[in-house]
Amino acid sequence: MKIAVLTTTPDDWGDLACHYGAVWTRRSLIPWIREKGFEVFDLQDAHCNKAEFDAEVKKKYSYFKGFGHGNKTQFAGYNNRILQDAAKDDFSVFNETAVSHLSCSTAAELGKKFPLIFKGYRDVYYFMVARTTPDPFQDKLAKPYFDSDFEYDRAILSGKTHEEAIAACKAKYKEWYDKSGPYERQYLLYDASILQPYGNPKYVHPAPPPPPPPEFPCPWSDFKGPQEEVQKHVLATHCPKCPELPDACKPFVCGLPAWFRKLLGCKIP
Amino acid sequence: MKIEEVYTAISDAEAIEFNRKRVEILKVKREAVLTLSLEEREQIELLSKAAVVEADKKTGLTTGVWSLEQVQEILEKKLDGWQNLIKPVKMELAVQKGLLKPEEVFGT
Repeated sequence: MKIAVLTTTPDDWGDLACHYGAVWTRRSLIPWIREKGFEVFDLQDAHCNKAEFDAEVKKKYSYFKGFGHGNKTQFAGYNNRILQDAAKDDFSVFNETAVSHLSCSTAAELGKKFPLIFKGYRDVYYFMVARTTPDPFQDKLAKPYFDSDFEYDRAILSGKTHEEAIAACKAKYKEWYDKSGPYERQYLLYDASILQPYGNPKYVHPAPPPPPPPEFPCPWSDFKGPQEEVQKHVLATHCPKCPELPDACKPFVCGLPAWFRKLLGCKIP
Repeated sequence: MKIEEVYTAISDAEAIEFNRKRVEILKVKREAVLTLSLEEREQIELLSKAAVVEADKKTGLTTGVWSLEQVQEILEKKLDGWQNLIKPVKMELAVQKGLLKPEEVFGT
């Protein structure tokens, strides 16, 4: 298993739902996931096709956040190309992958196929948009829906259990419901009501892998690496062959100050 | 009350009438916008241009995008998709009638 996140953001400008979902996922959720320390691979736009999706899925990501259109048995990518089909696909490849869909109806049938855990919606998902701003990310009416749905992803990727993440997601819907007017809040209430989890409620997603050790540059070449590697490189590449030199000459031929040689592990006093 | 029971406890006609009244109120407010507070005016302006969007995969490439008035028209004329569009309206009406507590949905 690769502890990393796979996302789909099929931004089709002719499709308002896809445009909004892609923009919000890319600008709100993905930066948060990266900041948390997870590697993210985002399949964007025309790359959201079956061949490229299947190739990525085979890499066995620990988490898949799918945004796109859906129905009871299918989840779609760019231009409604089918990425996941309950009747055709082999879902054993998701043995170690937690799956979260922001899509219509996929929890009705498709969601049951994922062997580890799944979060989705069992009926048509609605959200409101203001259409007063060209930038969906500035759309005040749309924010409550995406922010509420993403709360599940943020919670489970922060170490909460599957059931705790579902509760956090519902609580976020409630928070926005309480702040919203009567026209828009009905969709928040409804969307929360069709939220559907499957799989072990106690499942916990693994923590992000530790960050790679900091790299140090070699002062005399382009070599870079962790401190120990740079030390070995300097000794092997830039230091003279000490054993062949008379002891008295060694500190001078080398040219490196004694304190620096000591730091590198040089045995010459 | 179970969430699914809301859909049968509230009749289609009642939900459609409830939504019609709300859309009417919105229209009246829009026409009388100068009498409203700045905050209300901003909200009305936002809602008059607002759309309801669904993320359902159709056979074609179109997404459902409707203004609040169009939603009402779909409900009244029982056009394609009305059976889904009426569900959020029924839920809101159930809350207003005290049949459903938001906590029953949100679990808090």
